[in-house]
Amino acid sequence: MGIVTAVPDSTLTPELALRYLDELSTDIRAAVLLDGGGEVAAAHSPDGEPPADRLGELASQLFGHADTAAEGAHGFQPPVTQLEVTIDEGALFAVRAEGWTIAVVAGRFALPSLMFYDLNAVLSDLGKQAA
Amino acid sequence: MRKERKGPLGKVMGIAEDVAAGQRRRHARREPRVAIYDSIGHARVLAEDAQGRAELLELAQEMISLAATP
Repeated sequence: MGIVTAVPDSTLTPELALRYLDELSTDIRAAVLLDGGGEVAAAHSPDGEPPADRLGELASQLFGHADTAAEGAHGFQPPVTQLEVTIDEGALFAVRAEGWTIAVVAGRFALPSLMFYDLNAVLSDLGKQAA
Repeated sequence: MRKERKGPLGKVMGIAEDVAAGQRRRHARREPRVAIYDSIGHARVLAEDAQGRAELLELAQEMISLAATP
């Protein structure tokens, strides 16, 4: 005899992943998630619908330029897996892992270590889902 | 550590150094910062003339501006 416990559906979709991320951090203004082919899998903004296509197009170019920068960086071991850009108006954080690329726009005082931790956690969960 | 100077002149110099250091910190905070990380977490802050930095900055500026649009 076995005990069967009903568990909620734990399927993590790209949309759910971004909503989850939004709940984790109040600093996030917009987020976009790209699949392995560079296509927009989901985009999210707490303040409404972000221009997903344009955000995705821009996000898909980030790591290409980051890899170029890494080639000239002595002692750096490519590939680039994370990047951050901070300017007066805000900050951008991006991570690529598990075949996904995620980029979020946040306030300029968001803590990079926490942001990267959350982004990596989300991509790791999505990766497990796909496995 | 700063070398202590004695006398009123030393005090004035100390204040001037603190003001200058504060200005440098404020200036540094306003400078755009572009950093990349490798797979083992090593960070590299890109110098102003680093390859790819200008493009990353441009992409980020547009994305941040898009996110700010209501």
